[in-house]
Amino acid sequence: MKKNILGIAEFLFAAVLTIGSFTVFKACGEHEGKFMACHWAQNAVTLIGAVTAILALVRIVFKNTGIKAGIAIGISLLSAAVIIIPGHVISLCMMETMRCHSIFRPAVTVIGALLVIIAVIDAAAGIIKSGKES
Amino acid sequence: MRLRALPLNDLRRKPIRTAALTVIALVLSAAVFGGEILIKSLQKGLASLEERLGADIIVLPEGAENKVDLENILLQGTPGYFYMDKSVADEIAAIDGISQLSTQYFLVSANAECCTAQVQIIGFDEHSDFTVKPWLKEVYDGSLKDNEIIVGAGLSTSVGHTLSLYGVECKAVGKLERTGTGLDTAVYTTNDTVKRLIQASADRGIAVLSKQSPEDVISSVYIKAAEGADIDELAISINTQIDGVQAVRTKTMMTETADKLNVISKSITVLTAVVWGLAAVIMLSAYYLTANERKKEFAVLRTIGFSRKQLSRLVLTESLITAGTGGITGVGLTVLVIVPFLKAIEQKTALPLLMPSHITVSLYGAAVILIVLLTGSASAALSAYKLSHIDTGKILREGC
Amino acid sequence: MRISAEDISVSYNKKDRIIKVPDKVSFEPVSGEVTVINGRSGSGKTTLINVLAGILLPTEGRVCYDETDIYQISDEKLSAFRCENIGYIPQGASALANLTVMQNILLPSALAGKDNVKFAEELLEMVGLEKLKNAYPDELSGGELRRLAAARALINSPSVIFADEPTNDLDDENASLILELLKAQAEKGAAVIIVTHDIKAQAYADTLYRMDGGKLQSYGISAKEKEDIYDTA
Repeated sequence: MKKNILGIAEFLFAAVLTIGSFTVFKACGEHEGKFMACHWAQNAVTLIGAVTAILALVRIVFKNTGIKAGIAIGISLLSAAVIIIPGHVISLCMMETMRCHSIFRPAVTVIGALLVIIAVIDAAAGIIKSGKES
Repeated sequence: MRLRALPLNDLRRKPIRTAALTVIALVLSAAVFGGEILIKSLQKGLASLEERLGADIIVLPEGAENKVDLENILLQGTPGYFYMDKSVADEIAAIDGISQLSTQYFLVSANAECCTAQVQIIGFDEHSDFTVKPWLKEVYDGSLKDNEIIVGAGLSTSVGHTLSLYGVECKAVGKLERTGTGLDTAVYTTNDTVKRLIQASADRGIAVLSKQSPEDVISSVYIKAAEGADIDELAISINTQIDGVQAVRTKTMMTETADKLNVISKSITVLTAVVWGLAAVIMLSAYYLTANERKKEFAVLRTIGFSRKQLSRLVLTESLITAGTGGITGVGLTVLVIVPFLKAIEQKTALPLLMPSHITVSLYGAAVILIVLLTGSASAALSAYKLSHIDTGKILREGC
Repeated sequence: MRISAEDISVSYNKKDRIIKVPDKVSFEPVSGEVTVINGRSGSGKTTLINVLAGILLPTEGRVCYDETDIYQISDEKLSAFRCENIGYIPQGASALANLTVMQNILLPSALAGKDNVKFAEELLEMVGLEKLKNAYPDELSGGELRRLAAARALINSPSVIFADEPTNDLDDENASLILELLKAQAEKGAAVIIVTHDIKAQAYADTLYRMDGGKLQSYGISAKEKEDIYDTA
């Protein structure tokens, strides 16, 4: 349990990111049958969130400290990527007052940032530990 | 074994107590810092709004709902429109005591391509304007050509790019500075372009929320009073001499918002004070209780040769570590939540919010961490005194 | 180091009555000897050694180490002096719960700005705790805790050692181990003062005192003679 506490935290945050991205803090809805630009950013976030969650599960299951650290590095890179998706990689709607700017993007930034922090700590701890073991 | 490791050791061996004290410090710093940043953002937002308007008096068509509409446009960015006859501007210009006067025409687009939200389009008179151009961040060459627009900071369109309005590709040639007001999401253009937009909407069968042309009507008149002129009197003369209009002093409008802001600032201040008091009391009692628990430990340390000063330092260091960790984390989390969500808070509260500069925010962060450190060490001071002045002999004999 | 206590009194308020325990006690433990003070509980034994050890300010009298009156110097100076020169084994469990056995023993030397890891390991071996050096006190038995306290008191090789009931609640084996250890320190030149009601400890005494009602009385006979008395009795 203690060994996996960071992995569990990573999984929980990734799950919140994935599920929240199309529920609680989803981007702007469709309008007159047309999806808006931010919809594709939302889909990308959901997809990366799901991949991150699966990686976190794999990280929990694996016993080898080195592999755990490697996956944690992967998770930190993915979460860093998820932060820059809305607005930078995929553009959002035109006005800052719209939902994708005021709710979706900040929520993704906050959860992504926390995920990066946790994963970086996890990776660093893992690297130090595997160094000690060998 | 290093002496410096002693406080950390104590904290590590009492994880629940350490976590509780850290969390209290975290809540305290988050509350004080968050509250302070919100108050500063409000003050800056209001100051910016006042500056942004740049006019002493705004004249708009008579009717209470029009005034509410104007406030919504300014504060919330809710697009609105109202019209009065163009001749009003000339009538006003005839009144004494006016130094500058400029008219604006408000148009609301049903939707711009890609966006469900309505866009406020403002047609302004380039020659007489004194309220838009001073806010230009990226300067255009001097005059707007056909289908050229200036965009507010809240729109993602950058200079050089186009924005499609009713199918008309409008080129952004200038961008305004961020003001934290509703005007950040407006589009500014000439009345000629406005006319073309209305025509285009009619051609495409898109409902336009106004049928009147900027050739016949205007929405508002911005007035700057001449030096030495009494602004109140000027507003009164406009109201009495011209029918169907109302002259609103921007100061009055500001005062209403400022009053609202005052109430909010005060509530935040009171709340922050309550949290601070509560945290101080909890910390004080936590340290006081542990002081009783740790008497024997400190008596032993005394026999080993710890001086009173060293014992006090031990307690204070422990409190500084928990308060420091909690304080820094609290400020960090607050930045992580408030900064990205400021726009959402602004929309929910309908208040002008403008984030203070990075330097100001950093200074406040540092000040809050200092306050939390002081609160932590002050709460621990009593227990530090008690523990360093124990009756060693008595405690050792009692064995408790 | 010459240690002298002159006319030591400590007054207490007990049910509106002021009692003095100890009452005008003068005492000079000798370096290189084990001095044992016995007496009933409440007779003032512990109070007396606390005064001597510099952790309890007497109501009257003075305590001098060589020419220095220890209660006339600043708390910092006195604390530093205690750390370097006085070893104190308190009554009961006195291990610091947040530190490992090794850290407990090293703490006084760390406080004195020294790093005595080697000597600490020797001490651990002497008191038989070498296998427990990374354990925390809550994993130790009563006897082990007492041995830990003894080792900690000796880490800075103090010239004066006070032991308050060092054999209390200990089995014979543990008790002898600690007493032997203290005796060895005296043989190395330290002044060892043991406060106890344990008769076994008296066998190790070079000088024997009895504390009664706050007054200290010398038996006036050497421990050797005392031992003979016990043997013949």
